[in-house]
Amino acid sequence: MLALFRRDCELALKSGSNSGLALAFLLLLVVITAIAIGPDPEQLQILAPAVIWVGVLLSSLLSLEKIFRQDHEDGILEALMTSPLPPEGIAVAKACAHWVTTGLPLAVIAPVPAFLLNYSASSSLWLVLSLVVGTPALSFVGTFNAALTLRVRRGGLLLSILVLPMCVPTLIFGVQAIQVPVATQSYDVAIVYLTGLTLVSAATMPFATAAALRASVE
Amino acid sequence: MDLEVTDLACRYGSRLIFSGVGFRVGPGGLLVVHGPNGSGKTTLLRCLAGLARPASGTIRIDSDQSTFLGHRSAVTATMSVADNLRFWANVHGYFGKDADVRTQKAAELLNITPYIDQPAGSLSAGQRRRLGIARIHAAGRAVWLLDEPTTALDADSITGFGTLLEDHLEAGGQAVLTSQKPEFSDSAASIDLAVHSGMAEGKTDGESIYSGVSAGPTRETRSRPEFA
Repeated sequence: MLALFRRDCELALKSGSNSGLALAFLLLLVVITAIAIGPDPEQLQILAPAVIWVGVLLSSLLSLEKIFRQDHEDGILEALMTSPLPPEGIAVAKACAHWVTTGLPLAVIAPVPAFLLNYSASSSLWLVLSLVVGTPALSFVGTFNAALTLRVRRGGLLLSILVLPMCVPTLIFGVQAIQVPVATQSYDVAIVYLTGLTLVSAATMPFATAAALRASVE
Repeated sequence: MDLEVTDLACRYGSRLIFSGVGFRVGPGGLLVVHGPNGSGKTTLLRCLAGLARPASGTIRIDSDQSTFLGHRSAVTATMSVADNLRFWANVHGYFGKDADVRTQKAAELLNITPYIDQPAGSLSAGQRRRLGIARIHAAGRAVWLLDEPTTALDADSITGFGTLLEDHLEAGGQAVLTSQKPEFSDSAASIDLAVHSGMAEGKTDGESIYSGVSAGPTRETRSRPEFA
C-alpha cells in the first residue's frame, strides 16, 4: 500500500502537472473573482471564505480524473486488482496520494490568495488548519467518484457533476470555520465537524471505491 | 494447491461465450488454452484471475498465489524499467534488498538489463512485453495466468520465455496461458475453446463437450516446491 502511495506521489511530482495546475488554478480563480467583485475591501473580506473554499474545491477537482484513468488504460489497475493488495488498500493509497499532491499544497498556499481577498493575516493559521482537516474528505469522495466513472469514456464532466454535490457538507463547515474575523461564530465547532466529515469519508469511501473498482475491471 | 475448474461457463454481456470447460492443473502443470479470436480465451483467464465472474461452474484457485498478465503489460511509461519492477516487487511484499534482487534477476532473465535505467515509455512493444513477463517473475507467485504472453516477442525471446516457464514449472509452479499459435502445445496439456464456444462444429464428435483436461508435471519435479 505504501509502495503504491509512494509511486503515485512520485509520478505526480515528476509530471508536475497535478499540484502546479491546481495551485495556478486556485490563484487565477481568486484573482478573477476579486476583479469581478470590485475593489471594495470590506466586501472582499466578507466573501473571502466562500471564494477560497469554492476555489479549493474546484482546483482539487482538476486532477481527480487522473487518479485511475492512466492506470486503467495501461492495465496496471488490473494487475493491482490481482495482486495481494486489497482493493480497499488501493483506494486508500490513491486517495492519500491525491491529497498529498493536491489538497495539502492547496492548504499550504491558501494564505496567498486569502491575502489577495483582504482576509485577515492573523487568522491564516486557522485557514490552513481548516483546509488541512477538510480537504482529505474531498480526496476520498473524489477517489470514489473517479473509480465510479472509470468505464465512462471522457467521464471528466460527469465526475465533476457527481463530486460537487457530495462535497457540500465539507463546503458548509469549511466556510464556517474560517469566518473568524467576520462573524463571531464558534469556529472551533465547525473545525470539529469538518474533521468529523473527513473521518467519516475516510472510513466509508474506501469500501465504496473498492466496489466501484471491482465493477470497473470486470 | 491444485487449480481446478469444473463445468465453467462464461457470458460476455448477454452472449454465452463458452460452456462446459473443466480442467485441473497441479503443481508443475502447464495448461495451454487455444482457440480462435472471440472464443473466450481472455475471458477464461480473467475468470481465473478473479477479474470476471463466471456464469456458472466452479473455480478453485489460490488467489493469493496467482499473478495475472493481461493484454496490456501494466507498464508505467514515465517510470524507469527498474522502478517498474521494483514497484511490483514491493506490491507483492518484497522490500529493500529483496526487491532489488528480484528486480535484477527478473531483468536478467528477460534480457532487459541493458535498458534498466531507461524510462519504460521508450521501450518497443516487444521489450514492453518482456517487462510485463519480468513483472510476473518478480512477483514470485506460484500460479501464472498469462494472456498471450508471447505477443510481439521475437524468436529468441520466445525461446527465453520457454526456458523461464520450464524453470518455473520445475520449481513446482503452475501456469495457464493462452495462445493462438501452436507453441508449447507439444509439452503441455491443452484445451481448445473452439470446441466449447460452438465455433468448431463437428469437432466434438457428438460427445459431451465437457472436457476434463488434467495437467500434471511435465517432467519429474526436481526440487521441493518453492511455494507454500
